[in-house]
Amino acid sequence: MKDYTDLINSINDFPTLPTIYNSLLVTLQNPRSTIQDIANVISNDQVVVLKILKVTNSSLYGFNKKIDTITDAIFLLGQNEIKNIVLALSVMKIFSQIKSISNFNVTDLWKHSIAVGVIAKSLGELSGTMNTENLFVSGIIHDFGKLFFLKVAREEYLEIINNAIENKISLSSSEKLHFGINHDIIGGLLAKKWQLPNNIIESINFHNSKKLSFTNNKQIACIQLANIIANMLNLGNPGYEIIDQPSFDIWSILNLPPGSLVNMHSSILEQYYQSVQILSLSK
Amino acid sequence: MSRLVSINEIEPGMVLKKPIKNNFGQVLLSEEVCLTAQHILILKTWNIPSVFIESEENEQIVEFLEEDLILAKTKLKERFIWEPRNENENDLFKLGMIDYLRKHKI
Repeated sequence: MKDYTDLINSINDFPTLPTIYNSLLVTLQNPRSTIQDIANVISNDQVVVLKILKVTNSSLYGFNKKIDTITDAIFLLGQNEIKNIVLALSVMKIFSQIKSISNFNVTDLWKHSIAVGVIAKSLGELSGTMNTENLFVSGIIHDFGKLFFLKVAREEYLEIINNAIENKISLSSSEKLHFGINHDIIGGLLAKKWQLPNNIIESINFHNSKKLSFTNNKQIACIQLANIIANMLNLGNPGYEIIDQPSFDIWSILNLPPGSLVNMHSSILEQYYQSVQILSLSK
Repeated sequence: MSRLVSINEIEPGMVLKKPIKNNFGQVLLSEEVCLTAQHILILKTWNIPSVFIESEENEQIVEFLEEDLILAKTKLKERFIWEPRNENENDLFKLGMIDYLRKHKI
């Protein structure tokens, strides 16, 4: 049986992000870089170029003209958002390298992650969060700790998932009972290893936390509520069935007008199905 | 009745129910304005995340039959092991019910 220390030590063996993401970071950090320099880095991977254009033209952004070139996409979305999309695509490559187990399918976890990203972004817009840029990518990465368990402790994870379903508890609680650590913390450590921005690390670390007293609590609140909604609407599968009660702080932080959640239904589904098609793991 | 709509979902012809202000409190568009494609483009440029528009929609849940609502509620209750504490949590539950009813084409 793997214990806490074995798991923490295995983090260094987990895959690193593809080179395109790191090359992009270096280019973005150079104050002399132009949009063309950024476009050149991205153009080294034509699959990434194609997917960025598809994402940019999807209902997720709602531009009312067609965007055909990567330089236009960078100009319209901004460097940070482009960086986030490349990060999401990089993470996708890691997802496709991990094998499913009989009671937990990696593609379903990927779909759940996309749903959390899409819903978190909508919640951010509804609650008037001015910076919604990191919400989509935070949603995509929030459950990465589960992939880690699927890779390093496959047999045990099967039992942990069965335990969560049978005893009607969350997967996070079941992991904690078995390993002494859960996917939230592991995901945060992986994000730290990949040197992701602090606010993304916090969103991963605290996406199931019952207390919200952090500097970017609005972002964490969006991810927490999106996680609950994605599970409730059966968009993908997070590995457990019960629907968590949102932490009480969420409502005062997001200050959503009455009725707004009900009105989101059609737009969530539209954006979800479109994003799943664009970011399909099989392509 | 007004409804808060994300900037990505607003369409020309929708009517504003509340004025749109920027961070400095200046009114960019006043209430009762009928939105045009040009307005929507400007709102996006200004990074306005959502607006209140006029809506005739009542709570969408009234379109279903009582017995179907009970069925959806029972199904959802199997996964909800807690009781709603406020209006927002009631909304969350309603969203789950609408989803169940629509996906099962009731």
